[in-house]
Amino acid sequence: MAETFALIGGGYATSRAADCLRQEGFQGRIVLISEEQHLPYSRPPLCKKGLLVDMPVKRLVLRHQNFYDDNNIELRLGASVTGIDRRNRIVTIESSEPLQYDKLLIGTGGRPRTLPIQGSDLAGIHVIRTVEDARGLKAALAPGVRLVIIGAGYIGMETAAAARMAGMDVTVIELTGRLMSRVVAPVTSEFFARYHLDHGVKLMPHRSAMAFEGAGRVEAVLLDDGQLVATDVVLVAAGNIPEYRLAADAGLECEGGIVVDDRCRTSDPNIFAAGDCTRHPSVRYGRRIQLESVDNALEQARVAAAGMCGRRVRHAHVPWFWSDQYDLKLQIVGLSDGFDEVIVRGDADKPGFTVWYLKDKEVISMEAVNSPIDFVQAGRWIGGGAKVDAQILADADRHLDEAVLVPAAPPDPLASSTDAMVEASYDRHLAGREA
Amino acid sequence: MRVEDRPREGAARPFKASLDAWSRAVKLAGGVGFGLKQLPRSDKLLGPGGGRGKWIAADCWPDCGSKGYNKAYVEDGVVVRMGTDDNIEDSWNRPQLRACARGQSLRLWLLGADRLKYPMKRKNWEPGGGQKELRGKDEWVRISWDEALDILAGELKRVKETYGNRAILANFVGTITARFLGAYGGFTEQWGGHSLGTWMNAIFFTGYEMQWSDRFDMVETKLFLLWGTNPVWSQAGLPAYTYWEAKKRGARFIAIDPFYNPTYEMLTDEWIPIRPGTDHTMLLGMMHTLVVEDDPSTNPLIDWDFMHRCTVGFDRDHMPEGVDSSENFVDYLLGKDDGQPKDAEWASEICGVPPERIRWLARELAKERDAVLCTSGGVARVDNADSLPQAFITLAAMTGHIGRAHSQLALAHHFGTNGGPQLVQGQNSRSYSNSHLRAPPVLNPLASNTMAGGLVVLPTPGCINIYEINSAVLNEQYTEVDGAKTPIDLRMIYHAHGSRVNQIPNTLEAIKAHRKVEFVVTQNMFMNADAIYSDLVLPVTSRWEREGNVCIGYREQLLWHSKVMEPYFECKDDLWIGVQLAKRLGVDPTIVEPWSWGQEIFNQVADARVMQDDGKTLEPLVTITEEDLAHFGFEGEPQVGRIPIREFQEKGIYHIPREPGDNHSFVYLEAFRNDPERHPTHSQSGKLEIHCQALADVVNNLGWAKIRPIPSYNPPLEGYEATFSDWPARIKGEYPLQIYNVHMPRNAHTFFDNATVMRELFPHEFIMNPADAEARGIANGDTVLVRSPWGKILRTTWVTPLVMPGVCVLGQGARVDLDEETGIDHGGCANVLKGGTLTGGGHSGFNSVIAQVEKWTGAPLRPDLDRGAIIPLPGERM
Amino acid sequence: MSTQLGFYLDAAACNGCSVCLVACKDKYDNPVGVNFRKVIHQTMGHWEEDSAQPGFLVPQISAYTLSIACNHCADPVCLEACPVAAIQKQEDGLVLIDKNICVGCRLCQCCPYDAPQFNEELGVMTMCDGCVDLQGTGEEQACVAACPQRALEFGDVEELAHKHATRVAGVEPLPDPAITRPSLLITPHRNSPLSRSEIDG
Repeated sequence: MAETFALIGGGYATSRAADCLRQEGFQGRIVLISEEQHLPYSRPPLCKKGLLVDMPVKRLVLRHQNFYDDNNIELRLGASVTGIDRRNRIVTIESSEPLQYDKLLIGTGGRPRTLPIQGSDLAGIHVIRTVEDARGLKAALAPGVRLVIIGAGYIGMETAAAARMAGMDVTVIELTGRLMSRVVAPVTSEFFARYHLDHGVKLMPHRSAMAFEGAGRVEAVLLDDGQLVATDVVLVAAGNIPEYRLAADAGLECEGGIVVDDRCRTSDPNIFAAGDCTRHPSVRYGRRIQLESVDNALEQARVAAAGMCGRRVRHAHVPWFWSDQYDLKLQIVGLSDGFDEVIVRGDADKPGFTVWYLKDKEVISMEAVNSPIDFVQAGRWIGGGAKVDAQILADADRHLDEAVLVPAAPPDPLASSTDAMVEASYDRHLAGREA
Repeated sequence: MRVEDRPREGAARPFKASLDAWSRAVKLAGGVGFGLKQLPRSDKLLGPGGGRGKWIAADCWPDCGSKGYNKAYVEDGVVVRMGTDDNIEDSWNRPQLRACARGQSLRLWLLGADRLKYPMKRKNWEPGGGQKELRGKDEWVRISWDEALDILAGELKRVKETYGNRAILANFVGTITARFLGAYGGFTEQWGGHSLGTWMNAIFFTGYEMQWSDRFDMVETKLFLLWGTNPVWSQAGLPAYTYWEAKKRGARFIAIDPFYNPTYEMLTDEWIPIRPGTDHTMLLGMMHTLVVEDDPSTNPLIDWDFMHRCTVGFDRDHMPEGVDSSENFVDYLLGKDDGQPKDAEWASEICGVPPERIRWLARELAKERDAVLCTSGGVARVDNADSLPQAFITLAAMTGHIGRAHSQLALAHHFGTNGGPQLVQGQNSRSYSNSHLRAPPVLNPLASNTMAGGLVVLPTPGCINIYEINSAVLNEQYTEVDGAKTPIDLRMIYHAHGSRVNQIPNTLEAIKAHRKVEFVVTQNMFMNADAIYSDLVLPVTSRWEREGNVCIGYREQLLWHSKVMEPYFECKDDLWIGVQLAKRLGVDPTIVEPWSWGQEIFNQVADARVMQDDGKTLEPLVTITEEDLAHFGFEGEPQVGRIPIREFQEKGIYHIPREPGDNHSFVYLEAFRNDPERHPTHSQSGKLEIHCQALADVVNNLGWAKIRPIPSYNPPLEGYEATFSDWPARIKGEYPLQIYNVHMPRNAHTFFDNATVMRELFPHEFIMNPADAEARGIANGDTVLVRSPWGKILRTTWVTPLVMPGVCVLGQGARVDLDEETGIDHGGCANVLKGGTLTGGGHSGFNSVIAQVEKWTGAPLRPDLDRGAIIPLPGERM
Repeated sequence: MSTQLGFYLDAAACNGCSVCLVACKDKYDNPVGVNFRKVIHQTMGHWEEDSAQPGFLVPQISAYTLSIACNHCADPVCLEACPVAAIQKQEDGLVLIDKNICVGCRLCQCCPYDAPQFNEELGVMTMCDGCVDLQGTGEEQACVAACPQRALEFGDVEELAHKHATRVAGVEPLPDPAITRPSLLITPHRNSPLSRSEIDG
């Protein structure tokens, strides 16, 4: 009897996992369940080009129908999972037959944080997660229309750029003192701030929204400093919350996200999780992290698929991120935990510069603005533990290779993931649960 | 592979040996990330504009029967990529001779990881045998050429001295290897051949030869009946393109075949599905229709003028002298002798074509003036089909399609598509097997003094029928041409080219035979099935590693291939091996190699001839100057020809210019039709023999069948009727399905079959109709077990309506991969299912196979890619 | 107006022989599983009882093949999906992957034609580049030069459209050309239905 692997969620993690399961040679049944009506699609464009032009979902899908057909992957679209019965290994689905599974992957992603403040149910207040969200926001956009964006993260700033390109009046309200403060160095934040200001975006740092005002429809945002910012439309871009309700209800260990190990296993050996909904231990960084990242979702999907097929592959990957604003491509690779030196290479006033985080001369993270080739080099260095001479690195006239003190180790195909202790502790962990 | 064994210049870059290795790599490498290790080669300059290499015309010799032009781009001795004919501007009048998929894969095939590199012996081999049952299972040990040649010479000597030369079986080893064996006293040879089925005999006796009309005539045809042909897979290249030209000019195409193949997809307007091996009944049903419906004045369907003047045996009025007039064909057709009219209803019961459809096709063919009846050897590769060719000849004759413009009976037309005298003449063979030194032939005294290693087609005293070879080894007797069962004691099997274990029916019997004899040697480039069951394996060079070759293309091209690379590892030429054996065994080496191969090719080039515009006079193709002679360093005389010899060498091909209305047009049998007395056929009567006593005699003398001189229907042993346990009551038997055996695009017989690229791109599936699959609970892609009375194979299925219900399609040429424990072949070798039955004139019967199919409940079959490359020496994997 | 290079396929002449595939594979040394070009075999229909001849099943089927590579689309989704801007559209319309920038995330597999191919050995995506290395050498693209049916051509799509009098870019089972506006021109096989939007007009 062929096994059934069920995949819950309609994003990067589940569609990539379906692909990887087939590449692993899994010949059983694969069922992908998504509450959205569409094939799994790409969300990043929604707050960029998606706000400027009509983007049919066909141009956003991660894989086309022929991929699912050719690989014999069943799709249950528009199907909302109501619960997971772990004992009987059954997924219950709203107004649909329940699904018996042998292995389950949860890839439910995240949902936009909403603000628990007065007036948040007024019309004209948007979030962006789905293509419908984006269409709703796009419909409200027109030249001269006032838009307040709450949150200066990737989504907020990407939307700001798109809205400016559409001729809108854009104000960004940010709790901290700088843009994308969670992910980039101050120098990079400053560069982007200047770029946005030059493009006419109004930035209001160190402030937060206290209430939305208006009669049925939002007309102004009340800030914590008492200012009232008049507006026609609001986008709340205050970060994402991992969507782990299903897992928590099913009694899986959760901690602000579904807790998984470095093989993407949850506390139930038949259930795996991948993507934004997880909190996972990083072999590389020695701590549990939760990433909102396409790359992480793809990599965890690969690891989970291998695990579902009984193969031991660990998640020890160098994470990377990107953001597109105007004609700028911001690329980040690695996490900067514990850096002891930051090097700026190139002119931080102009696109093309890079920022390098070193820890005992080893490159651990890097940010690039319109410098994709250096980004790839940084990825190799970080993956291979290369050490560099900071002074040479800082000199943009010298070739990157000249800075190398200890070259990167070649990519380790096994991803250096054999950590017997983690393994043993997980096994103990499972044993304890079952007892 | 040890470091010192690295391929020398000219050898391959490593190529993936198997999917296993590939999928391992996928799994090991991080799926996403910064894994760029090297720049792909395509970033370097490849084109002749910037590359430092050069193009060399490179031979493609495997025996598909077609010919494409291939060239290899060689940089610093390394073959970098393949190319094809762009030597002339492409036009319909003078088309480039473009290669097929197999030709394009030559580099990847010849330089694959599984090319044999060193002489090897079986670990447990000892003189006289040594655990013979381990053949096919034993380990291999690398040995030196000296040791290998000593072993081979020693065994030849021992067998000759102990049992005599007759104990050496060297069936169809080719004329190069056979030069030594012939000079050493001869060997046991085979007669017969696979390709043409029963046409093989028919073309010698009936008056119809395998010839075709010129392509400029052919493309004006209005109606083509494609009766069991598929050049897209079998003779890829120019033939399909030639048909396409006819299609563009408005021709109609009707296919008669169990399988709607890619050629039909491209061309046909109508498909008439027909059961394998039943074509004869359909032909009879059509001819019956014409005979009963014909009325010369109101409904003329029969070309009586031609029948009167040019045929014998049709009806009572046209019998050969001295033959009882009741032996005429029309009486048989009308059932006057046996009470059974061979009408469309009768035919339909057997062939499965609705009677009205049979009659319709007969009328269509008879009423269309410009029609070609194209058929192939495949239709005649059926047990007991000895009389089928006469049925085709008779139908074509009756409907007026012989010897007239835009009309012909075209046997193996897909092979030719362009007939008439060869316009550029040289080594007039396209393929490997018939290529030979034009030196004085060495004869084989044990094969009625035929040329040693040459193709012996007709029954020949002293030779064993090809389908009786394995039983002759096992049962120690064979059938002589007069039917006498004759003792024979075969002790040694010598394989040079080809793949006998795999390609002769009853592969399981062949394996037994190979485990019976005292010694088996194979000279090959790869571990083919012969090599697997051998004691000694000698790695030989490909044509790319020899001093070139000359061969014809189609009617209008001559090709001169050059040496592309140095011999691969320790590979040696077949001819070199013969010379070494001669030296060891006291045979004059100059008999084996009277002059060098290079000199031979130079001579062939010098002797090449090209037709002048008058269509009658031949002139030398190449001009050779004194300077050229010095350049090449071969013996020869200066001569004046059409093109400089070095231009010919550089391009590697010469195309004669053609245009409509030129003097090279040709209509086969036109002269005969116009004046049969002055231009008789080569038959006994000089006519087309519908009644052919000579053919009946040859067949009947062998004693495997009794046939009439007229084209009466003889059911095949394992044909449609045999799928029933009770045919009159129509009760199906143990083997209810028929298997249709086709050439597949992956390989030319066994050539290319092991190439990774071909195994990846061209799966070898078991093709079934949805109705048959559904009835057995089989879904597309499932692994199935296929059983015939002779053996069992595993395959994955392709379930498709492109094959008719009741019939399954299985390609031939895949290498056997026997699971010794279960006796099941995992390689999908068609001859595991086809038995070694001897019928009729000792012809091939690959299309008479019956089988049962069931869903396989064991582990799914591994992809063929996994077993493509056999690398016999441990640690040698690249 | 700038040029747009692309392929022309005479699907009526194509018989699926796959020389184009092998020639491409040979030229680029692509490993198992990596194919810049693919031959799609489309089969339609079924067997049914013959109304005129009861008791006989007759085939109502048709089949044909399409040889398809990267279509160097006017509106490529691969380019938009690439997070590192490794995919660029050149002035001549070729859509090329810069292997020095690609990080192998495979997001460009959103291509409805399955053109980008992940090369595990190289760790990057690879794709038909229109044999850009042969430009100026006088040599044709490997697939085009090899086609024994003369069914493939490569060049400026406007010129090809004019020469072959076709604007068809989608036949079943190819995706709706409206998605990416492929630089592909097809003379359809006699049995092939057009992709949906071409029928809609």
